[in-house]
Amino acid sequence: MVRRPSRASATGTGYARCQRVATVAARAADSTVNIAELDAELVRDHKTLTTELQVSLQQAYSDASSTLSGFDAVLPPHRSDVALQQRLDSALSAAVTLLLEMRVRAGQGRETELVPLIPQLRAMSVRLKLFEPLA
Amino acid sequence: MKRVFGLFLGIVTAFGGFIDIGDLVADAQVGARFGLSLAFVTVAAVVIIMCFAEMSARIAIATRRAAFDVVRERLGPKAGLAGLAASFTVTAMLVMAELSGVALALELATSVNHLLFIPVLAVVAFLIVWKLPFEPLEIVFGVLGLATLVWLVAITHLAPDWGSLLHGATHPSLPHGEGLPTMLFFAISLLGAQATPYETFFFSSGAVEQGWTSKKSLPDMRANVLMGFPLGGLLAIAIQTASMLVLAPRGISVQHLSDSVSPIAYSLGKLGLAVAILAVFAVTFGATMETLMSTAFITAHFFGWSWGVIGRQDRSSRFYALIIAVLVGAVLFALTTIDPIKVTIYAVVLSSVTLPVTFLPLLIVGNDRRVMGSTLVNGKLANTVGSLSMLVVIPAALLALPLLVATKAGMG
Repeated sequence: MVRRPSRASATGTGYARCQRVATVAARAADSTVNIAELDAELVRDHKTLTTELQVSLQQAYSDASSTLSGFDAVLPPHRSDVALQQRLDSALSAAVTLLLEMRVRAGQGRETELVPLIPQLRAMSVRLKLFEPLA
Repeated sequence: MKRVFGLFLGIVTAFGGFIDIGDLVADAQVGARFGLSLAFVTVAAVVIIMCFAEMSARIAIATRRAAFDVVRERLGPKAGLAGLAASFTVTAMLVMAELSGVALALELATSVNHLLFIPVLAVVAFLIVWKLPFEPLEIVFGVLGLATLVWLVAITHLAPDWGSLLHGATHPSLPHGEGLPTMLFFAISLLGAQATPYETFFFSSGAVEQGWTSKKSLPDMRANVLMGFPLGGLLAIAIQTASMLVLAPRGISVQHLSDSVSPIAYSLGKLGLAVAILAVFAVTFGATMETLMSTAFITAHFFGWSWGVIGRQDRSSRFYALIIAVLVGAVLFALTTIDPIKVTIYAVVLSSVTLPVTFLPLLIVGNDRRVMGSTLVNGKLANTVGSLSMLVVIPAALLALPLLVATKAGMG
């Protein structure tokens, strides 16, 4: 006879899994935001090529989008996870929007307009790092 | 003077041949996540590849035939076929990865999507194999590959604390937030990226093609191995260091080729970045040609087909048909829009799985006095290093796939 796990333990496992997924998603998005920040700093210091910048930001946007959609595909297993899911979803969405804006500016040859976004990128990174202690 | 120049070119070619897309990706990833904690793996990989490249070239010198041909004859068709299947699969995957690497370098230089370049590059690769003698091209790509020295310049310009770097390299530790299985997975990836089987096959085929058929060739061959590969290893550690210095403090994990060259831009600016992109182009194009020809060489050696030699293409139809098939397969695979960096990671992991079936037969044949003769048979040093290498590559091969799954290719 196969013993089924109790509801409590199944929920506990689901909660831990949701936390782990959130941490992995936040860490991936943070890495992407940090790449964009490095790109913006390279523009500020006149150290990058336009072509490389466009490719890098396109990839950063694409990575962040797929992190967001991957995270959204995981349903929170417990009511207490919903708040966590909503907080991270909001942060990831903001990151995607910011990276899209950067990609558009770089694509239109407005590289210098990336520099004022550096503080926003730093704030975004701090926001995403708040999910790190969950590990 | 001519000999010194020839030796220089041989060393440069071996140096350029050591670095390919697998190294560019694996080294940058490892440096960003583990600093120099896995630098010892690079040192071990260099020793292993030096041992077996030298052995395979010595087999070619002793028998005047490429190593794969001799292995099949000595160990029988079944064991030989297993080795061929494993090596062919990994090398064909690397063709796709290297071809994508060239396209990604062009994308960085033009911002045109890399997929548009891939069919064109495949045609160019075939025309080169079909129409041009490979040796001068190998030299051209080897010399252009010297542009990879920009990584060494970049870390010097960053003025790191060299004592602290040395301490990090000699005292490996597990960084905060990383698990031991993930670190082991990246160690195995690094081993697979740096001790790739195709390097030994290509070295062996090159020994036959360059007419290294007498013992007088031994010093030249050994100079290439003993200087070219360690220089390649040094460069690999430089890539790890650059990533560690620039990307690790920012929490950036390398996902794309553009991330690998960012530390150069940070350190040296636009000119350095342009040189780095040229270096990526050169080493990946050179590696595309090497892996492509390796797939055809090992198959031709195994089945006894005529090799492709310029001016004798009509007698080597199967050799060229196979090259076309591998290229078409690589292009179709790439056009599925699969992430070439992921393919590279899988290829280097699979490469580590195939290391024992590639290296063990070489060790057996190298020890066979009837095949090698009394002067070219393995000495104590080759046997000691070769046997110790087995203690590394066999556990790595056994752990590679379970760790690939358990760590979700290092992303878990």
